[in-house]
Amino acid sequence: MYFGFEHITIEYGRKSILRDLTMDVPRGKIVTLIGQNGCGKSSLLKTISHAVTPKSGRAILDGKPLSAYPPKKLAQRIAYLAQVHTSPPDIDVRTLVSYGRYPYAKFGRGMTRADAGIIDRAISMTGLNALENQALATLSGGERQRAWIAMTVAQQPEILILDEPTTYLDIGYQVEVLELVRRLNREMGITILMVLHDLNLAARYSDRLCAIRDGSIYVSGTPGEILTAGNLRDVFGIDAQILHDEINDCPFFIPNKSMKELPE
Amino acid sequence: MSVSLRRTIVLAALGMISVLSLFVCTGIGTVKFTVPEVAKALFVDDGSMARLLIWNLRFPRVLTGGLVGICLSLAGCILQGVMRNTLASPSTIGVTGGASFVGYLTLVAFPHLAYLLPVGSIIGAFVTTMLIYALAYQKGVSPVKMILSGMAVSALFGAFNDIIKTLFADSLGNASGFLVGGLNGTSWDSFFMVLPYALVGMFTCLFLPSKMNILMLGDETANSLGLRTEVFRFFLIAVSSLLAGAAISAAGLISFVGLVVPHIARLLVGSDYKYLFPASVLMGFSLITVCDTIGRVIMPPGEVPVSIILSFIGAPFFLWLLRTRDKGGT
Repeated sequence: MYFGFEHITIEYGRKSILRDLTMDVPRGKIVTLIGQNGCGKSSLLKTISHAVTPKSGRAILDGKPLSAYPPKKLAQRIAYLAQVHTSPPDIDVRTLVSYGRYPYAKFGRGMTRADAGIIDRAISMTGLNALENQALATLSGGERQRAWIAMTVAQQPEILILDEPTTYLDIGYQVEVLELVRRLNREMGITILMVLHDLNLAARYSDRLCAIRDGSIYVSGTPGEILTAGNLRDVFGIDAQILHDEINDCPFFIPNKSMKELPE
Repeated sequence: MSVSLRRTIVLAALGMISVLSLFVCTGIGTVKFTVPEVAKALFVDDGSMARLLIWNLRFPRVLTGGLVGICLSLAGCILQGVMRNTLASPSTIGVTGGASFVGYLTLVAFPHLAYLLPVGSIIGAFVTTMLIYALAYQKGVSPVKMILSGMAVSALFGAFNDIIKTLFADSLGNASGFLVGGLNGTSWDSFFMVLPYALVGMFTCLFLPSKMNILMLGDETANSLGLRTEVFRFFLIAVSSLLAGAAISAAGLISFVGLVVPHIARLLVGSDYKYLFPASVLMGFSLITVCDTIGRVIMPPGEVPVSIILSFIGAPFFLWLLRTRDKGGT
């Protein structure tokens, strides 16, 4: 297996979140995890950032568990963008992006000219040239998200993992961020694994969707295979009609009504 | 470019203030000397009154004070990073109390081995920091939990300390700065007792800035950038304990330096630890030397301990800080 998860079981106290989940992320694809709130999709990603320790199972890279790699070597191959970012408010965009070079830093040696070039490219790739000396606190939500993505680009990863990268952003910024993610995939060949809540955007920007239900992968496949009335009923409990977007050649859906019965 | 230029200017200015405060504070005192007399006393051992007062009393006192200031400021900087919380400092989280408690125990158990005092207070500082960390940490330390645990731990150790002081008054010998709190009576002995620990701590800090900066991005991001956050935190707690313990063994309870200095430094040079550490070192040095000198001369022939002068400055600052934080500033 190139990259993925093997037999992951996660429990919070007595509550079982994921049970024996195995999934494979094909090289060079954009794979998106979907599912209800609390289904464990973010928890699955968090096993990679050590924020969640699975009860059993492991994440795999090139057939070996991630724990077999030295942390910095791993960080040179897998970048991770957490859902909630914290940073000192006064650091500027360029400084943040430069932190992406940390996995390559040699003991006692500063930034090299090569590092500076990589940082420059990450900044221009994400369209942040005009903002590079601005403090993060002065940026809009969308700009700040782009700055964080630029940091992961400077990391020069093979794989980029994004935990709900569009949360708190309005639709304009959501599309902007996902367009950027897709460019990273198409132009730089970065394999993408992310969690998204908006199913239409997920279908629009992903090569594969994986729906999680009852603690494991319920179905996975191309957006066309996954975005069906049956799956939306089973995974999200909604009655929906599926339409086809001719311009972008992808499915989209319109919800009709919830099929969950509210308790009295 | 302008930002880094500003930082360089600020650091240069702070450096000049430090050098200035070193010599001015050595020169000032209840007994007046002229500048040439002071200079001569520092460099020539002529057995004069000036030599005795300046070389044997004031100069080591200023140096020890400066060293204590440096140690407390660096410890504060590091703790604020470890706890990811700008209200952390050796005094606010009760490290000072724990360090002096173990310090007292060391003095009582080994009354003839006064040089063990820093070791004792460093161990005390370490245990207390780990305790507060364990009590208050949950993906970043909740400020309320941290301050409350700090208060409780301080009060508890304060009570223990009073008991020890009462019961073992005889065996507590002559570690005056540690016992009374303050720098009155510090000599070259106290300076050289603290110096090795302070130097090791300061030297270690040279290698921390880039890792500290990464840690400030949060554990998830720091981990995914290849920093082992749990190991690094543990290491930082050890370094901050070394620094705080060394300072406490020389000057006892000195509050607010570790809180105020990193804050002002952050306002001046920003939160990049590459600049924050040097700025804190320089400000910590001058703040204590200046405050101690004020304390020495403000009410002759008596003396006000440096900790009291610092509390007059630090306590209002702390309250102001709490207030601005409530308004949503982080």
